[in-house]
Amino acid sequence: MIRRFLLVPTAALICLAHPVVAQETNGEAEAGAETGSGNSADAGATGREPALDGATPPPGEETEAAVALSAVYTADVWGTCAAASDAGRAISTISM
Amino acid sequence: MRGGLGRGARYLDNLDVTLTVDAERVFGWRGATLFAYGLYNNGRRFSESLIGDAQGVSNIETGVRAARLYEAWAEQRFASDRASVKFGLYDLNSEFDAIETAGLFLNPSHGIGPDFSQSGRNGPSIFPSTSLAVRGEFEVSPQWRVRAALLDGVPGDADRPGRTAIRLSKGDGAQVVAELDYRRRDTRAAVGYWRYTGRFEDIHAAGRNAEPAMRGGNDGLYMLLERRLTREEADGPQGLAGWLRLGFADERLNAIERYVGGGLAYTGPFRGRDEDRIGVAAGLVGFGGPFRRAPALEAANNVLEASELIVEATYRAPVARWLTLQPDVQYVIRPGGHAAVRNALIVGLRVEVGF
Repeated sequence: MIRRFLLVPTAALICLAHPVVAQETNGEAEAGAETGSGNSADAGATGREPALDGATPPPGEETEAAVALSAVYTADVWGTCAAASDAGRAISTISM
Repeated sequence: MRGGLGRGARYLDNLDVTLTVDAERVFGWRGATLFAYGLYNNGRRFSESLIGDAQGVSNIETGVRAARLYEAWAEQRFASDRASVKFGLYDLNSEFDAIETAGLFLNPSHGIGPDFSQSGRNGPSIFPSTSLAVRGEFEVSPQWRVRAALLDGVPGDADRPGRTAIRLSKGDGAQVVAELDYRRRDTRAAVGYWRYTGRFEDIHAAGRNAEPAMRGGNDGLYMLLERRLTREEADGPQGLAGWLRLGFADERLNAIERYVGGGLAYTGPFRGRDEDRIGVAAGLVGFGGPFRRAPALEAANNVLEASELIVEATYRAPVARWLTLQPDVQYVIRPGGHAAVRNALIVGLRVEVGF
């Protein structure tokens, strides 16, 4: 299954990457660091996302302390407004 | 606010507690790091009960109230830190299919592609259930690195999703994932491949026969490109960044066959607010043909659309050293692909408190 998808996306990725890589090779891009404020609960909460300009720092190197303890509490409030329909409720019971 | 399955509001929460130990400084274990990660969620449901979408709305929605040991691993670095091995309970999304720019957004599809996260009997080893794994990484050159992991094929206990469980069963099989990563200055590109060794129920055959057809070869592929597009200063973080991600999964065994997502994020959009971030992103999933023709959907006389699109706009503002506020708006077009469910407008607010 995967083989038939390989060609098109690979070609697309190469096309997308080529201009920017070529641009950097010509020295037009500047080096620097991105602030990684990622908030996905799995990757972001640990603050271990890779920086765009370099390697992923091991967790032990991110802090000066030999032992680092941290805690983050995240709360979401979400709202939507619509009249519930029987059809919609029936559909919601169908497992994805 | 309108659309989806119904009206209402939900409060979701998530507590992360992490402990990192530099084993070299504490125990004299050269090149080693120990890491433990505890997690608590209240388990309230929002997407499933009110929206009916396939991608989800909040990346902290678990559906199960639980306190768990989420990660617990040891990492050994060697070869002048160019190579490393990790072993233990491991969230593969902490390193695989992780996009830094996309970390601003709250929709789960921007944390890990839904083509990947949907896979497996109890998901892959990602938030909130992880499995035992061994991961190796090697820096081939300053630009190129390769990483691969071998993981237990079924994280946690699917029958008791709130429990932290490690069960190595031959029937569960394993998952392998590999990623090739290229970085140069402001640009990063990566391609990854995942595959399960176990057998899975064929979607279209399920329900038609007394014995469901089981197939092997459950696999998928993803590609991502992210780049800093502008900078306000040569060495500052302020400026515009963007990304694009493509993903594919085996349509015989997975509901979502294709995914394309991307977005833009600007750091420091206003004078005096250098750490604020604003962005817009979109995620489009394509449902596989076997899923759209699945007997369960046919029995409900339901017409399934080919795709679902979610567009998100967000603004993240650290208002104090310990407090961050993030209002967020999402619009779901064709939730779950179900023609009978109206498009949904969703408004949310995230509050983060750091200790």
